[in-house]
Amino acid sequence: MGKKLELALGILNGTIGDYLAETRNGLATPMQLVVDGAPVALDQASLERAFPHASSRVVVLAHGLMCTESVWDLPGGGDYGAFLERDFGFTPLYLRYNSGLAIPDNGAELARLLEALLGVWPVALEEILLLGFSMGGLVVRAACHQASVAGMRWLSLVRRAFYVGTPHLGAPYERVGRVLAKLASAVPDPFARLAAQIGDLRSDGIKDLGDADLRHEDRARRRVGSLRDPEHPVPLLPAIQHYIVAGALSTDPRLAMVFGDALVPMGSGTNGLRAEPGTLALPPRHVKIFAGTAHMTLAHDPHVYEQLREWCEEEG
Amino acid sequence: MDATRWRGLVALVRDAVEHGSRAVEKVQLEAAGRPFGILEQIPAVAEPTRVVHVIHDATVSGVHGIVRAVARAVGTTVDVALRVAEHTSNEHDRES
Repeated sequence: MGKKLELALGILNGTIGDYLAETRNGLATPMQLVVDGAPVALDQASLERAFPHASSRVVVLAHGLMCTESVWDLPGGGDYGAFLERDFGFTPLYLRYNSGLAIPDNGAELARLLEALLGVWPVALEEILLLGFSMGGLVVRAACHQASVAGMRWLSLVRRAFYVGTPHLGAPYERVGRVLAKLASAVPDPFARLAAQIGDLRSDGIKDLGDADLRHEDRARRRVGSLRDPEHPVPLLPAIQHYIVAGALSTDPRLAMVFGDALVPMGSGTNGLRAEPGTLALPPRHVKIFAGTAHMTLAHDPHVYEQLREWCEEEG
Repeated sequence: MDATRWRGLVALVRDAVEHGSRAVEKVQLEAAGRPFGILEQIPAVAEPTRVVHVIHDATVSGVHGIVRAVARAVGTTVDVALRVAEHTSNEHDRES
């Protein structure tokens, strides 16, 4: 019941979470660390109780839109966080947050949470590994950007960031939705306008996914009529090693380019891969495409973990 | 589910009824306004049409107003009941 309820609330938060937060509704999920489904207070005593074997290296796992931390659960048991602890000694920190809030707001909240964590983590932190699934990857990027601007201390502990199924250049389905809502609102018919209003109820988080807006000011570049991937104004931070996992439903390269993992097209999922070679923003060995893998599966796939493990071994 | 979430659920249902009812009311008034508007241009039926139009709009707004008022009343009642239940539970915890 608990897991299902949290999942239902995760879906609700993803859909109208900005409204819930704005109206101070008790169903709004605050950003928090969770252990076995229960939130952990951010003070040393609570963290010592929740993490009796706290390591100096932690991995922060950020779920995607309308999800909770349960998205990481592999069908056969375990998850990427537990495996990274087993294989490399990273203590997994599962994040739960209101995915309907604007991505920059969640990024700011995550940046603050990690800065606070530095002071209360039971042992001195030496490394923070970031792992974001889908929207979670954009939240991670927004947090890094804001920490970089604000000169936060935790950012210096981040050496690597893993993005799994993250729409780095935005999600075209949201851009299509934006166009349809605009068209419906322009129709001189009360029922069409009502449909447009209902469509416009979708959360700020969903709207930010359209162009992968990491800062509030990025919304100024939204163009209603454009369905193309936007030029991203916030580059990946050069001080961090970035690794990307993208999915592709089809094994045919052309179909894979267009449809990607069903939700995120290949160009967006890989942060810039085009049909022409040499268009990746990252070294090719930092990008892995899983053919025949759908979007949600990327968060709990043993093969994906094998890739994460390989990258962790490479970089020591 | 804890009391904060129950209260949140009640508030959400109340908001949904409030906003939904207002939106539907607006659509109904606007949709009905078109045929009434045409008929009101015809001199032979203009006057009775205006009367029917006013009655129609008052009925629609009245029904939606009642729906919203009932939703608010039910929401407030449930909210009070939750507070009482929470208070009783806290008292019980303190005693035991």
